[in-house]
Amino acid sequence: MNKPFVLPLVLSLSSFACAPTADTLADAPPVLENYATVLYAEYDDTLMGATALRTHATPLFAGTATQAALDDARAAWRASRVPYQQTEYARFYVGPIDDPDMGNVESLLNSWPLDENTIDYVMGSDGSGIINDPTTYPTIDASVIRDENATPGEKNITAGYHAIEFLLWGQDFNPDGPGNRSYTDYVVGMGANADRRRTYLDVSTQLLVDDLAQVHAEWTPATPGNYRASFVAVAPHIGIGRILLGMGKLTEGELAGQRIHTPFTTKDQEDEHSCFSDNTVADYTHDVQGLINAYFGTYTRTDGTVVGDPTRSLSSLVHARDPVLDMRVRMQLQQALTDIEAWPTVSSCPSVVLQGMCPFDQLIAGTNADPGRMAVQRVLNDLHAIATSLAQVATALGLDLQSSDFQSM
Amino acid sequence: MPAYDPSEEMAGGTLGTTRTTSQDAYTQPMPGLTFEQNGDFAVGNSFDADDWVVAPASTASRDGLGPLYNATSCSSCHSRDGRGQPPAPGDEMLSMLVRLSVPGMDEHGGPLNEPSYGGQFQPHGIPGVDGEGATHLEWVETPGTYADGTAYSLRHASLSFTSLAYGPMQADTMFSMRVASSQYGLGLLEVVSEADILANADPDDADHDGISGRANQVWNQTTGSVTLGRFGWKANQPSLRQQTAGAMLGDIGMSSSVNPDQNCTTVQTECRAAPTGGAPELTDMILDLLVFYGQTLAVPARRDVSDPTVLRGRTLFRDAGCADCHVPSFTTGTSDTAALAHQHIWPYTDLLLHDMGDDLADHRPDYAASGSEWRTPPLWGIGLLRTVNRHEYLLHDGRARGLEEAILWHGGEGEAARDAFRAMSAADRGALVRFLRSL
Repeated sequence: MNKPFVLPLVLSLSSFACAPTADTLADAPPVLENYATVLYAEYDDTLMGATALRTHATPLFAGTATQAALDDARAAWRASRVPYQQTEYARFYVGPIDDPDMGNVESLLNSWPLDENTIDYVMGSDGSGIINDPTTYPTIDASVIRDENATPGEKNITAGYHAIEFLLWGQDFNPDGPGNRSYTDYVVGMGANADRRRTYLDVSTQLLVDDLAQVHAEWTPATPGNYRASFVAVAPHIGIGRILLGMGKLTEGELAGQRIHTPFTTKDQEDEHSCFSDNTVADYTHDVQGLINAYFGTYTRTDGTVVGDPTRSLSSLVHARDPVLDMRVRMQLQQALTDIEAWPTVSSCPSVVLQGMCPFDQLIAGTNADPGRMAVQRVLNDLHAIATSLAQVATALGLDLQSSDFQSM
Repeated sequence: MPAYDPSEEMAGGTLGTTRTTSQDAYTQPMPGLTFEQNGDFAVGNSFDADDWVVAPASTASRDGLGPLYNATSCSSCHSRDGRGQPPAPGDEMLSMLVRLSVPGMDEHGGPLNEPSYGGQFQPHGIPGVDGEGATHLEWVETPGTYADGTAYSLRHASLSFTSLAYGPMQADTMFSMRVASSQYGLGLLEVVSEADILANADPDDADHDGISGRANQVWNQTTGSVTLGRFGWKANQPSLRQQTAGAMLGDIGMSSSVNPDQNCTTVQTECRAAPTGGAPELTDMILDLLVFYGQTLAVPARRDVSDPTVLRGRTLFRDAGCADCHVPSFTTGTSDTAALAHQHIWPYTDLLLHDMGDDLADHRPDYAASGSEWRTPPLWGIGLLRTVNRHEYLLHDGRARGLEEAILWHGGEGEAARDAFRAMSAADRGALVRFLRSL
């Protein structure tokens, strides 16, 4: 293990599980505590957001659907995504959100792409989906939806935020904006199988709340035996390694690779994260905001209060060892946010600007010389640079993580 | 016997080896990729990892699942680009499938499909299309002993179908169960020159060492001719492109320019009538990116190469004759991808077919491969299987519960090596396994 090994991107040689590091990271335990404090506040807002979504969707499934009620539910869905996306940096180190032994909750919450025609009608197939198939599914309840999603790889994705998104917006065949499902889909006597669609929305919003509550419980402070209790108590290099692995994988594999570079390459208009609502740009903005929270050690809650202690942050840990590197990561994170937030001002963005955001599917069209694609490329470059810096952070902290470890999702 | 060579540590060559030893060890890009190639790798990864969905869907690039299928994504069987396993009792197969054929050959000399179910049993169907049925495995244990008296037990499965949605199968149908193979390092094996592979072939055992080594010769859909087979448990695929397109159709139900038709037999009328996700469903661009991804997954570096027990195991591996088929190293030929070209690699396979005896036989010929011949599987990276996939089920149907059992199943041309292992002391057996775990 100690032979010279010179390769691009390879930054450290020791085995990750037992990194023999000169730096004992004695100042890391408060950072782990603060990370858990910030993440818990984000999950707390996420759970409240999902609960509010269910509340605002209630008129649709309780029989008082109107256009205003549908608009209200849609706004609540968008709002619920804000805190959730900010938790995504915690997705990639086999924690409460993605541990198969804890049910791989993430796959129930945020799975994508969606088997939309397993849920409801789609263009060209009026009778498709569980909602329109009372013969096979005489009742729609939690077990029906859970069972469909129970075995990843075998069945179809019919639960979570994107399922609810589809129930609220419908398919998006509108090049200039999101899908436009009618509220009458929830009015008995107007929309076919409206009663069953109501039930589906009722059940799937409740499942969302229940699944988030499970993750929330694992991060709740002062709860002996939950994940948080063990997370803050592990050896510092393991705990900090998890934080960096999660941040790095969200940055490189998930955001840059999967969510941006892939549709950038295929130019498939709907190969985007929130394709029914065109909420994709907001999703990405809050993913990056989450990275900033994780690095700076603070989070501005939905109600405006700020939690976390920046002096006990990953940033402060890095600053104590390599202040120049720390400054670079801070600037790169802010730059990525700035460059995503600049998308609506891109000259090729069409007249329809949604929620202050240029729809992602409009940005990726055209040629590489078009302003939209150049703006997307700029963000890709930002994210690659962040990932490279995070690998350097790992080295500065004596951890064995390499850029290539961030590539897989 | 050749002394330890420092390059052995870099199993995938200087540009294609990863130092990662975590559960992501099989899913790393080759370090020698260019910036642009890393981007292509990421896109390929996306289509490898994510589910394909039922057509029509808004995500037009990603629809076309089924109508009949085994799994919804590559990664559901090749979890973290690793190896599949037999189902737990009571579960349906997921990362394992059953090949079907009837006596005779197709127009190109390959297996002849079962008329009602095709060449592969697909338990699942999209809404409105019945899956082909359900399977059941009954495991049978057979006791044995090492020369030192230590007892062991080997298991093998007998397959049955608990339901068949499209009527009975033809009475003389032949079955072969296969677990999904790991995906890393394949691009390197693809560019080992044909001459170098054939140099190890000895079809008539002219040197009387008990080991033949035959090349499979299979239909190449790209060239429209018969060429050397390299991939798959019986070396029945000539290229990663054809392998990938075949898996996309057979396992997931995605048509492509290589396989333009849906995978439905004449009696599967709902399957034939189901909506498609385009013609073809999988565009050439995405197919090419998937192939590139499979070509450029890095091989894990060896660990503990200087450990005395590992070095002892290395000697025993060669002395027992394991290396006669699990040929340790090759140098790759040319490639447009620099990370693949002219690399000194250590895959421990000759990519040739060997008769492995009756106990391992599936009795289902596949082109030139007989019912008892199997391709030598590569061993590189095998020591990280438990880390990545949380199991160590080996051999084509996952019957072996660990490396020792896999060795003990060797028969036919592998019998002498197997007997040598069985005759070893417990310490030597342990050293041999330690060596394999260092790969």
